[in-house]
This record gives sequence, C-alpha cells and structure tokens, in this order.
Amino acid sequence: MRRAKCAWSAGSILVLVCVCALAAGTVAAPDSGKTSRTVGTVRVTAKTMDISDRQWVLSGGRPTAQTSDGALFVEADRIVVYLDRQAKDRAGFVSKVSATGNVNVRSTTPDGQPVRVTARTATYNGQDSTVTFEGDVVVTLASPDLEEPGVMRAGRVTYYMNAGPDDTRFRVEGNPAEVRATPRARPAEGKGQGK
Amino acid sequence: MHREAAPGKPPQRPPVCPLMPVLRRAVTLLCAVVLVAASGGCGKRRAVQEPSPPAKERPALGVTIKRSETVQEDERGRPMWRILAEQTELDQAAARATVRKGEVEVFGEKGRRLMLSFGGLAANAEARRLHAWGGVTAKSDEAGAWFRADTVTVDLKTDRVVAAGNVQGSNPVGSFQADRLETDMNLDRIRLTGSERVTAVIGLPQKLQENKR
Repeated sequence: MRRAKCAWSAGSILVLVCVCALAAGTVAAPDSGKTSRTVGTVRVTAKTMDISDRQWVLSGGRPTAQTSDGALFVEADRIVVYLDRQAKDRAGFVSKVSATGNVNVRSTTPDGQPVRVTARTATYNGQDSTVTFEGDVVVTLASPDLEEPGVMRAGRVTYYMNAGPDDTRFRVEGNPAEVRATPRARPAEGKGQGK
Repeated sequence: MHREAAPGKPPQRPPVCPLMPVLRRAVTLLCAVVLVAASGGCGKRRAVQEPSPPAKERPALGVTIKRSETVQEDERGRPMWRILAEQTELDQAAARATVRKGEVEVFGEKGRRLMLSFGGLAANAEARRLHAWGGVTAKSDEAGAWFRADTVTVDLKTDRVVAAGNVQGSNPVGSFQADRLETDMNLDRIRLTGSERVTAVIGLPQKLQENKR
C-alpha cells in the first residue's frame, strides 16, 4: 500500500474509502516482479494426506501449508497442492495451491511487513506468484506509514507476492470494496491530536 | 437251625451264612463297576487334573532352511514373491512360511515389484498375503518411492499395502512422516494418516534409499 501523499494532512486521519470498484480494481497489475519470491518447497501438515506425484490433497484437522522461506502460511479446511514434475525450474514445481473453507493466510511483503488474509478460498498460482482470495475477503496489512494496520474488505483480492515497493501489491475487487487505513502522523505536522 | 455231624463221619464244613453268595456276587459286581468307571468316565477327570502338554501346531515336516531363496508361485504358475532369507520354516504344504531376517520381492499384477526387507515375515500363499515386521523397509524402483514402518502387510488378493507404526518415506515429489500408510502395489497413490498429524515436505524429495540392512 502506497504512502498517502495527498490531502491527508494534519496528523492522523481516519480514512474510510468505499470504492465502487466495479471489477476494475484499484490499480493495474505489476509490469514485472522485481523480487524473486517463489514457492520452492512447502511444508505441510494434516490429519490425512492423499498423495501422488501430481498432487497432494490435505484434509482433516485444519491442514496447513507453509513455504520454506516463511513467506506464505496457509491454513484451511482443505488444501490441494498441485505439482509439475516437468517444470524447468524450481519456481514452477509447485504450480498451484488451492485452499478452501475458512482460509487463513499469513504472509510478509518483500519489505517485511506482515499481511493477514481471511477468505472462503485462496489460490496460489506458481506461474506468476499471485494469490487470489475470494469470498468475504479481509486483508489486514501493517505498514510503517500507517498508524494501525490497514484493513481491506472485498469479494475478491489478488495479492502479487513478487511486487516491488512501487508495484501494485493488491488488486481489490468488490461491489463495493472497502479500504480503511490510518496514516501515521508526520512530525512536522505534529500539532494534531494524534489520531 | 443248627446241624450237628453224625458220629463216625468227617466233620462237616462250618455253617455258612446263607447271604454270603449273594454278598460275594454283589462285591464282585461292585468291583467290576469301579474298574469300568476308572477305565472310562474317570479318565476325563484325571486329564483335567493333570497338566496337559502345551498345544503345538503341527510342525510342518520340521523343514527349516538356512540361507534360502524361495519362489512362491500362484495356481497359474506365476511367481507371487521371492524370499531371500537367513532362515525359513515351512509348513507341511509349504503354503505358509515363517521367515527370519531377509528380503522379499513381491510381484504385482501389472509387473510392478515391491521390495521389502524385514526382521520377520509370515508368508501365506493360500491367502496370497505377506505380513512383515521388525523394522520393515519397502521400496519400489518403478514408482521411485520408499517407506519404512514397524509393520507392513501386503495383500495380493486386494492389491493393498498397509504400513503401520512410525511410517516415514518419500515419493518422487516429497517426503513424509505418518502413523499409517495405505497404498497399492504401484505406490502411485498413497494415503497417509496420523493420530495427531501427518507432516510432509513437498519439493525436497529424499533420494530413493537403498536398504542396506
């Protein structure tokens, strides 16, 4: 989420933006990933696993999946990891991860900010390193520019895991989508009441 | 009534109770009954009181083979398994074998083979079933998968392989730990279950490990 530069002046301002996005999204997709975060290996747990060399189906006992670098942690009622043994590189080996039912995702942005997402479903796409959340999506994102973590509510949110600092990190789609953020007070404008 | 001996004649036998013959017969009859009872019905009672010898399965011809290779064929003459063992004990019909420390190569229907190494093995050709225990390692070169467990049961009738207890292993795309594993002879699809949780790592498959026991 970009730093608010505009008219959010004196001190902290509570901003409630109701965006009638109408499927247009807030911003465009990133032109290219400037960081190289890919899901190489995935550590998974569950009560039951049905495994083959193409896919692993995890069910029972709230299955979890976590990337080896800790960039993505997924917990859901059911998780399916799709594999591509013909992939040319390690990045494409985990081609897709599909999570359904009370999905809870924890991640960190490339600059180390924590992200939490809850949704009905989540799908990780290994080809472009995106995660698409659908169904009552709530994204909570912390940022040094915000007084408190920003919250986005929408029907569909796309998270670009490889997005650089100036790239789009989230595409929020909803009717309406709601974004709520409180910019941190600037020292030069510190005469405000703090919030 | 008392009879006296006539003078000049030898004395007669002393008087006998008239019931004596009857008593004698009764005693004789009683003894006979006791003897018959002792040799017949009472035997069961005595057998219960005495310690019976421990029940043993019939030692099947007493065949014990050291360092053997045994190929078991089905009714169509196709090999079901081949056992390489330190010691094998066969039953009368050679349909059941108890094996200590060895390896068995199991032949599936589609030409797939599963190799087991074990501490002990019971092989039942009639049931087409193998049960291995004692740190069992199973591997399939064709599937590129292996696993280790406390016990492994292979049922060729149903084409099912079940491993239980401290299961760990890998397939071409990952490694896992579980309490129980169920699969078929091909090891293509594996179901893992755990009383607590199954843990696995996808994308870092352990290399197929040779059994070097």
